[in-house]
Amino acid sequence: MKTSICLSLVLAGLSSLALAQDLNPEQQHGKQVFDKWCAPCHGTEVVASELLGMGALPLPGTAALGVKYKGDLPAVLEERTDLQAIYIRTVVRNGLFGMPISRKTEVSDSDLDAIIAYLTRPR
Amino acid sequence: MALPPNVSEAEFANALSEFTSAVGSDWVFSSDEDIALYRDSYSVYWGEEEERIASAAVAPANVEQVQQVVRIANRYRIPVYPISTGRNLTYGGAAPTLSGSVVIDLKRMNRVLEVDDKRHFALVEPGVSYFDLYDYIHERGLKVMLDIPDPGWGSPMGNSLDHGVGYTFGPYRDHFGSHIGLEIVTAEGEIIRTGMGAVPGSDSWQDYHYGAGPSIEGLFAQSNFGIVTKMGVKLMPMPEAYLSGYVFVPRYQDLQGLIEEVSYLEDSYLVGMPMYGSPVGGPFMNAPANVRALMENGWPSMSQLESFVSSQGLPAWSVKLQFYGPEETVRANWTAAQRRFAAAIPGATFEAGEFLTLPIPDEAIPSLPDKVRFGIPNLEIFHLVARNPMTDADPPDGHADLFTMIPRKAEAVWDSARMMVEAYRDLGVPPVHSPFATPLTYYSRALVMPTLLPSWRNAAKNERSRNLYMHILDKAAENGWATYRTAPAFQDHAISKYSFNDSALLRFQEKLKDSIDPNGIISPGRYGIWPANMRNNRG
Repeated sequence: MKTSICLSLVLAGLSSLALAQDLNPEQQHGKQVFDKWCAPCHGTEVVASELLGMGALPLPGTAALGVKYKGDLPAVLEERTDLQAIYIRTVVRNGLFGMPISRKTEVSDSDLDAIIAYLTRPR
Repeated sequence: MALPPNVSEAEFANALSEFTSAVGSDWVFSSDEDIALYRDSYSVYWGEEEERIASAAVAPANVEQVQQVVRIANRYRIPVYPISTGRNLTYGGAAPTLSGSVVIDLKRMNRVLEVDDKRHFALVEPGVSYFDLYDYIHERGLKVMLDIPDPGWGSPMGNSLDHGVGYTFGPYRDHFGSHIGLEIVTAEGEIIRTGMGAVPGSDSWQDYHYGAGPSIEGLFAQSNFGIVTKMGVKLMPMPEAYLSGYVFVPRYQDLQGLIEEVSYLEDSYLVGMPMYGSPVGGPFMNAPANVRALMENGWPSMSQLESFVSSQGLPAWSVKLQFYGPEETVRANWTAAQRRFAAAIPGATFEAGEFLTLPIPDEAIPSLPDKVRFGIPNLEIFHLVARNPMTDADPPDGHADLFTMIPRKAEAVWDSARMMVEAYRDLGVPPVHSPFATPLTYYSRALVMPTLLPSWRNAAKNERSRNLYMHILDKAAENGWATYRTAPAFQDHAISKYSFNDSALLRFQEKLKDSIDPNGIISPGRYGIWPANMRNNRG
């Protein structure tokens, strides 16, 4: 189990490195906004916590999606190819479970458009 | 459209027009869709009439615009509710205390004005997050370490002003205690600077706290006397090294000796944040079945607890000690600590932890456990609410934290754990505490007996959490305990426990409120302080 998680993380890292060169300016901006606002929960790192009494786990958003989708869909958002603009917009502006609402003074409408362009780009 | 209380639609439209002139049309939010972004994602009243909902939001870019907004609000008698980053989740988020308030969203005021790594301070605006301040320091290679709360997107200013806490060295963990110098816009739109900031041309605003005469800074924390627009933050010089070690004590009653020795080390400024645990009791809030079984026939006696501990072959209690400083001193302090524990508590044993040189190298940061120990902002605490195998069927939408302040005594730890168990049982909820519940140590001179209650976007479930929260507040007060911080939904009830001499403290605060903010426009009701014209709003 641990091996497969590690392997998928390495592959995810390689694929995002390769893709960074192929992004158009809006997608690149989307990637920057994603890294600032989304990646701290939805990134690829695996971390333990003595404070939380927790062994090594993916970051909270990634861990949650792993439990939710049970392998049917990738737990790492940047690996998803099925995401729809309306879904991303709705989740960012309404929050979902423990993920809170993001306001326009934090993630502007144009930032959100860029995140959508990045996550829904043709691959 | 929601309206501020006692303000007509026409008056509100005029006020919005004036707000627009002050800050620009892009930064006044009054559509239902935009106002919904100022809901508290973790509200315990989500979707119910009592949920706190704003009437609009205004986002000024600078202190002059804050002054203009406040003056307009004062003219129209519109309550306003300033937020910094609006991420004070579990304590209200971006939502106002009073529905119909206009949120003043200070997120755009996001300048790090200064960081000095020789005099060890920062000067920041409200919208600066811990991520922002860390990046500023890190990119410049400045030799200071932040003390941060769990979520990195919070505001150093906002967190301090809500008496937020952190994880490193005692004086820095108390974030309001480690502020130095405030700039405040009053309800009438005037700017005040505190301490040496009141001296024209002063270059020691972030060096000397008091200035001369009475200090007024405390009035602007957990309150509604003005809008803070700049704050100094005392920073710890980047330590050369970090060392941790564990102390284990064998008997249940050894907790008292353990706390006494830890308090000696903390109050002597020899250790950072201590972390209590119980090897025999298992994980906090997830005790094993044999520990839960101890409570089946009421609270176990001391002899039952001692017998249980000795039967398990595990230490009753542990504490993780954390040392920051030059390698020579952290190693010497750990040696001295072991000597003191060994002398005070027969059978105490020790285990070395980590030794790290600081700052942590960049490549080691992503996988570094508990980054808060080193002031490195992150969002890993959201594991507390993130869907996991245990909550997969019905994940919570948030949580309401309830941290009860208790003195540094074993008896208080045990009594408060018992109080928690009884409170849960009173309401038919399976308890999460046990006789081995261990306290948190956010503040170096007090202990905290915590609990976290789930919040939902579901009224019936929220009612259960609210009822339990209120019940714990009541039971804690019967023991002389109270919480240090709470969400607007519970603020009146929590403050009602600070009732010595017919609530003389609150009556004094409200006299000040009526004098400083005569129209009662700033955050009415925050932490129980209601202006004269709204005292009947008290819940």
